[in-house]
Amino acid sequence: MKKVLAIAGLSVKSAVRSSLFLTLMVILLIVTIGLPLSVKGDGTLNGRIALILYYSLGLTKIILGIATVWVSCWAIAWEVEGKYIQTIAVKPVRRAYIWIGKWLGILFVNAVLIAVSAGITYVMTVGVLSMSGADQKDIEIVKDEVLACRIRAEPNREDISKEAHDLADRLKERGEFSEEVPDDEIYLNAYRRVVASKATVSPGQSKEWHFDIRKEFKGSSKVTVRYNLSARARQRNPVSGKWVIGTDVNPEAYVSKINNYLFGRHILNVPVDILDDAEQLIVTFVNSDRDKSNVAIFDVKNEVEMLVVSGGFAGNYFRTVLILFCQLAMLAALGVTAGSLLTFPVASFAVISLLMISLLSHYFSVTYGEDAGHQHQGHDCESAQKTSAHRLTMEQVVVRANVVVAPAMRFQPIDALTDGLVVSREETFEAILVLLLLYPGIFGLFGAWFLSRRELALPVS
Amino acid sequence: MSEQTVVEVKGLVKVFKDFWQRPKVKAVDNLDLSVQRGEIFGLLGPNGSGKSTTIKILLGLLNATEGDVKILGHNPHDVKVKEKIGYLPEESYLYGYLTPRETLNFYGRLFGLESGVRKERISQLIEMVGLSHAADRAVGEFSKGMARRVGLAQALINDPELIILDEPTSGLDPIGCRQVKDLMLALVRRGKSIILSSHLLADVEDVCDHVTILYNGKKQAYGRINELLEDSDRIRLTMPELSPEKMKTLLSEIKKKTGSTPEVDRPSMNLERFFLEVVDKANESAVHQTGAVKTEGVAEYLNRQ
Repeated sequence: MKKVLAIAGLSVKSAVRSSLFLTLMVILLIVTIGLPLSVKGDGTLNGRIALILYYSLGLTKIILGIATVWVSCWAIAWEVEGKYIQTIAVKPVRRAYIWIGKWLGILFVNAVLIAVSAGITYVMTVGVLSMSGADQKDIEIVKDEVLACRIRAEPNREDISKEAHDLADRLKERGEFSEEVPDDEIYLNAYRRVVASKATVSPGQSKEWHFDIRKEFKGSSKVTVRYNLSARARQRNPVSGKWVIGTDVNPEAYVSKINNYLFGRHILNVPVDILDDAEQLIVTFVNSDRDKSNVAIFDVKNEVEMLVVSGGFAGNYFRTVLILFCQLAMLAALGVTAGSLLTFPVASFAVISLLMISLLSHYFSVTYGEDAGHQHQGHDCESAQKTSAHRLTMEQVVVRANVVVAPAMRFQPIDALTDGLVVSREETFEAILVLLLLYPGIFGLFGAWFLSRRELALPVS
Repeated sequence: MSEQTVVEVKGLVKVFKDFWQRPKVKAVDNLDLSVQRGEIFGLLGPNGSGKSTTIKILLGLLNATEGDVKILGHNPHDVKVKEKIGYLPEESYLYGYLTPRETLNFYGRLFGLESGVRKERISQLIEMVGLSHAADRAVGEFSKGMARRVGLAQALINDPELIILDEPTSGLDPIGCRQVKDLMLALVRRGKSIILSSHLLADVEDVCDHVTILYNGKKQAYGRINELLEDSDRIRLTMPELSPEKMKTLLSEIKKKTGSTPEVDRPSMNLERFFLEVVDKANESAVHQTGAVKTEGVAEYLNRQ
């Protein structure tokens, strides 16, 4: 371990005594201090604070991400090209130690830079809020919606696969599709129609959503329900109606009327005490009669959500920053491994290309997943995934590549943080496991293997 | 391989290949070597003769294409054996942002030396290579010769059994060259073994016991220095100054006994020795020195039995 730490210390000295470190520090200071002072957002304090957080942390991640790829690819490649490694490799040091030492050195520098950047962002965010001169009400909204830490719960889903199959049969009988269209395509179409029909509430009708009340919800200081609906565009009337919130024990604990509602995302407060003895929260939307209201169309993905305050913003912020650090650690591992095999510019281009391919693979996979109905309200629609031969080939290529990429790509803590949603301890632990241990471990094995096989004193051509 | 043999190389071949793995250059061709404990072994040859390649194979920095290589009885890739080896590459390859003290501390840590031992050795080595006044300046600011001294110090930080020096006097002034040669002789007296690769023939002649001369990757000559250089048909007599009459008598006597007239010349001091005497005198009056300074002796820990 002492030998590893010696190499790590050398990397840290190399970084700290180079102009790159100073340049990065200055850029991060400009971003984290300059951005909060210049961002205006959507005109609301809520929007401004969310944007400050999103841009400051997002840019910190991008800047440090690029620097990490660059420096990590350079770390070993430069040692080999400059022949400095010859004085290390002839010492009683395993080649794996060289890899680990370089990686740990970069991690330490990243930890310092991200801690400074995140610390300033936090202070600036709180500073902008307190010096905004806004009403106490607006400040409270920011604290409830952005500087919050809320668990997001989705309603229980009903299985609509039978309904989708029945509709698909009816569509075939009616001859709506030509004979060449495969059954899977027809089912997918039927499935989408069912999902869409479930997301609408016509005048005079109502719809219920049931949420399981988990143990951690009880005792929360604040519980809200957020809905996202719009009035059907074809008719001019806005939506009017009422929301009824209750539980399996007390079905009508709270009623809220809405009038002349056209579109948007709104919040309903839930009396926290009604959750104590209940097992389910029941949220009902009752649309008014046709002459007073319009068809209410809910967002397919996030029609109604239950938001339960769980912990403070500071802890949530810390976990977000920790996950960002883990993401940088994974990038560093990838870079050091590439630098163990390739020369410097080649290694960085290889890593950048690999990252681009991974991002595309993940993007295609998610997009295709949505297209195939994977994410339609979480309904079970396995058969919808069985599509035409063309799609199957696409799926094979994209999804298989994404199997490798997805575990690393699924952590998006900045999105959750700026939406006031919890970045849970479990998610943080998982990020540490996957991004800090698993992937770097695999990359490290490859890197050490490359280094041990590599001739470190080949003449430079 | 006997216990007295520290390096044994048999049938060593090294072929460098291009990107497509096509053979490009045969740098070492069927080389046999054997280095004994307590000797200075010289690897001689012009540039590109395969000296550095052979050394890098001994150190596990390159892989042999063919042949068998044993260093201190082990495979060159064995990590454990490297604890007993000190290596000075042909260029010093030092980190320019570190000071000599930090450089030696870093390499000392790679050998797993305890902090106290490192501290003691570092101060002795810095003193030995004449860089005490520059111990906390970045190596990047050093002249080639000063950097070479740091390189030499790092090769000795672990008190190695076998020291491999690739062009150790390259970039050094005559004082430094003499010090390095004296150091080599002192280390060998302590039972250490040294492989010296050089194309500076005077250096090799001064210190080596055995030499191998390489050319085009092949061994061209091998043997003890004095045996290789000895002119067995002639002898030389050296004596104090004689009067012209005595000299005349002596020469006629020799001619009478041997039938040939001997050559008479006056031995001269070599340039190295003359230079060192001049510097010694200048050193006595010098007040301030920014470069490397002339020092005497060897680091104390290297002298311990």
